[in-house]
Amino acid sequence: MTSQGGTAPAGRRHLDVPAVRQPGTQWRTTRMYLGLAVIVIWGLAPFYWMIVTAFRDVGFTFDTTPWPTHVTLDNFRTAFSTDRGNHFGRALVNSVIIGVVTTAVAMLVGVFAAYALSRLEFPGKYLVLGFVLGASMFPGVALVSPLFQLFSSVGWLNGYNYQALIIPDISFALPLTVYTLTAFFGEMPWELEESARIDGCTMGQAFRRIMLPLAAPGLFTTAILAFISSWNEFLLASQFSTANTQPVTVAIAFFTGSQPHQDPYTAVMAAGTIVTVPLIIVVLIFQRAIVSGLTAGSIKG
Amino acid sequence: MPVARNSRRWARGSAGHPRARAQRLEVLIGVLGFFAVMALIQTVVYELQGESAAGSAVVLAVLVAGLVLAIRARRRTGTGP
Repeated sequence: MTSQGGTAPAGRRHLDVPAVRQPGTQWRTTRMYLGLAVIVIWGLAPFYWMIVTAFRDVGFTFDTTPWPTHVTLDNFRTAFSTDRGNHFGRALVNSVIIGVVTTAVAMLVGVFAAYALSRLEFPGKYLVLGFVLGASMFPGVALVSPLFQLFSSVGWLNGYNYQALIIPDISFALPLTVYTLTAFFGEMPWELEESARIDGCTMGQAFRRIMLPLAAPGLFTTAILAFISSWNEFLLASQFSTANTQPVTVAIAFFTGSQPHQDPYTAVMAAGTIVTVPLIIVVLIFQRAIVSGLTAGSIKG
Repeated sequence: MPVARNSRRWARGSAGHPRARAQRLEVLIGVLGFFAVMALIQTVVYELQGESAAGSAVVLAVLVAGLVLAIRARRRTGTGP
């Protein structure tokens, strides 16, 4: 009895010993947080400066005080004002139309393509994936002049022809959608689909009722990535948009100030803030879904 | 020595498996094939327009050579189509 009470079992002996901090651990943690702080500051500094300038009075545009001074909302009024020929409000609506349609079409086509690529076994399956990857690597600037010739010959470069902006955007969003969703679907448990088939579902029903709801985080992440890529597109939009279909990226670039040779920096920063902040808020709200969607297709084995 | 060889094989994981190698080569063939098709279209358009197509023809030749090498390597893996 005495011997049993006096000695602890060999396997649990370590529990009695207080945890000893390894030498250098504190310094390693400090270094890690310092590194993280540098990366965060590096990434956020331009956005911080954009927001500070957006709220600064136009007379103090080049003031280098690092915190907000001479705070005013006039720049936001100037950004939305149409007195100088700027149509920022309409450009916002155009961007939303282009982004939503591009995302919807890319997701609709991408989901089926990715499902087939990850679910079905056929010769040359990885060849198709390679083709998709090649298409995503293709430089957009190489498409500008041939597309300009094509669109001008079919009369799409005037009026309200949103398709001149949506179709090239889809060609860039689609490879991203297909590739991301293929990786995501590849990690899904196919036994669930087989169980649904045994219970009487057709392949389409099993996809719609079982697999699609399970894939929601991946679909949501991909949709956000496709929307952001379309929202930020400038190169093709600057060539193919008209005064009626101009998206925000182009509208901001062509902002005119009160003086002929003076760039309206504060109004541009205010417009940039209006364009950027909603995206940041959406990403922050759905951060958990986005991270789980992005990492779901990343582990093989 | 056998231990070292085994640990190296373990570290490679499935990446060294012939099927995984074949899949990677198929992706490479797809990427090279896409750019080869684009280079072919550009070369043909230049030729038909009567412009100098030397630059794009050289790019096409390099891409086709890479494609042939990748296809031969894919065949050497010994896995199915």
